[in-house]
Amino acid sequence: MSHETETEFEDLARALRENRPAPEPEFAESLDQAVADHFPRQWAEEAALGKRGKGGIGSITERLGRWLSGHRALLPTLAGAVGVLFVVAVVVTSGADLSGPGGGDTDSVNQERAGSDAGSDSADVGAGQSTADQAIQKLNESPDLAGPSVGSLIPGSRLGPIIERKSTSQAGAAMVSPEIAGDIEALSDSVTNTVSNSRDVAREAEITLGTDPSGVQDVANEIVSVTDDHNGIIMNSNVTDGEAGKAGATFNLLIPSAQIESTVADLSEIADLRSRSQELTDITAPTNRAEDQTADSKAKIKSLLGELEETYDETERANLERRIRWERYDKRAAETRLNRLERRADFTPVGVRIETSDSVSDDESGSWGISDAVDDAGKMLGVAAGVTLIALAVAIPIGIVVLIALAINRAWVRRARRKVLSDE
Amino acid sequence: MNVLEAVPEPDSSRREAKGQRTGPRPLFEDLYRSSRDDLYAYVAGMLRNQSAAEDVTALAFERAFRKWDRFDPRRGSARGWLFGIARNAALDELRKRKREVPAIEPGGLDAPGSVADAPASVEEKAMANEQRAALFAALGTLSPGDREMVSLKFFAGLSNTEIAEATGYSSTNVGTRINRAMTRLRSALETDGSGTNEEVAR
Repeated sequence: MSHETETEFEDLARALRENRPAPEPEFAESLDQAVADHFPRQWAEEAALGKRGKGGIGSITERLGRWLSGHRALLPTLAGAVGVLFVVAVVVTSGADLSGPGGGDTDSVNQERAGSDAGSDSADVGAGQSTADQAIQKLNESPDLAGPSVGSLIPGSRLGPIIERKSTSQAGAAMVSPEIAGDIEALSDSVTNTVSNSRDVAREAEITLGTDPSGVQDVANEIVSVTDDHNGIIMNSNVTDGEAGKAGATFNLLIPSAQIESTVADLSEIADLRSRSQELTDITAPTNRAEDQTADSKAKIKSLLGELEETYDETERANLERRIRWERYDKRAAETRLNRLERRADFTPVGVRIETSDSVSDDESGSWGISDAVDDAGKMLGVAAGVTLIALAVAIPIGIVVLIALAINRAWVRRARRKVLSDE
Repeated sequence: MNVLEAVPEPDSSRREAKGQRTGPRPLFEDLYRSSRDDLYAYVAGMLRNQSAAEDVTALAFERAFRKWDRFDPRRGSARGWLFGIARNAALDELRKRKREVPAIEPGGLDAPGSVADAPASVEEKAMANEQRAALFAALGTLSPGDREMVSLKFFAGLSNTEIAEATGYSSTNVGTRINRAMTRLRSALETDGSGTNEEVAR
């Protein structure tokens, strides 16, 4: 480089230095203050909101950061909202698994809901304002009593020949209120009357009661008393003493079908009702068959006896007598079947079980103890861990995609900056 | 000797506050005090717009303040690091301008900010203004890359090493780029042909 050129460059450099831009005093003062105050909230707010013409400067994350720093009061609210959302997610997810205060296990919670539904459905019927058809319809609609349509049991029904109907109602102790139980019985009575007036129906019932070990004997005595009151028969019984879980009793009763509903209702009130199920079986067809067979046999026997009177051939007579014996044998068998079927229709076997497990005592006391709390806490933690795992399963791929996007964006920005330097 | 090498480095007191490569971490306030005007001058030279220069200067200092904990003195000087941040912000501003309709202030193109040491007399002041306008007009004809080198070297007063830290170029490359930018700036002043420009070049 020549001396002249060097001189020119020196002059130019000096001119540049002498003319270098300097910040306006107002701006310099404002920036000094911001630095001295470590870019405080007010400055951040103004920068973000553009009060000094600085709104929108910086990247999106910087603008968001400024906005957040200017609205720190919102941070606890946002954190709280996120926390509440998480808790809601956990609770919703765990929903059916949790047993609340006084609650039993999963089944009892579900059954409580089912029982309530059935109760509300049957309330109208219990009030005596509904026809039997409406009762049947409600019974069919009831989720608790879901099963084959009772309409099929009605003569003339176009539905298929469904012959069995089973209804089950389970509840933890203190779960089924007397009102609901009464509604269920009223509904069941209505349906049963409608069905039994035209069809032969055999029923069975199972009842499980809960009590503490010291109350087993009293409950057993009550069962005997109720059975007697309703002209029932105790087929067999077994009462066991002991500690909770071991003590208990079982009864197999035979109750006149005409009184089965009231009997079941009375039995259910003796102690805490844990579960109750009733099963209806349409035995019209086998009863009719047995009656037809009996009538046929009678007719055949009468006919054979007539032939026997007019026959004098020994061989022929012996043959007729043998056929009459067979026919009488068939007639007796048919009559026995018929009697058995009629007995099934007239009397209903009822199984009653008395339990004394730990959960009963908890439920009996109606209190929610430490063990329940530990169980629930364990379930909550498990569900929370599950929700967290699912959240991670969703968040990790998203995070990977975001990281890749950030890396691509960074490379793109670098390239764009280089391009700016060479373009303009 | 290359004339650019003869350009004096920033004074020693400023140098101390700039933080040495292996020295202790300076206070952010010290870095700010020693760099505020230099940074603004660099950004204003790059953007040629007073309002944008103020925005970007404030943004650069805010970013530097937020990232101050991450600054590692072993990897370079604090000033080089700070000007790297400002450079990115300025280039982003230039990118934004390219995307949007340019909104350059009529008076801001040629005269971003005030002159550091304004002459006293009216005649001198008028001559200085004319000279300054010619200089900035010539600067405006340069590419951003050349303008960046000129701004960093003569407006901000950075050493070649600090410019290398801020831009990512090698020190040798920085010297070459500055030389090339100055040649183009002189050519731009000469091409304009006015006596004022010749005076500026002299």
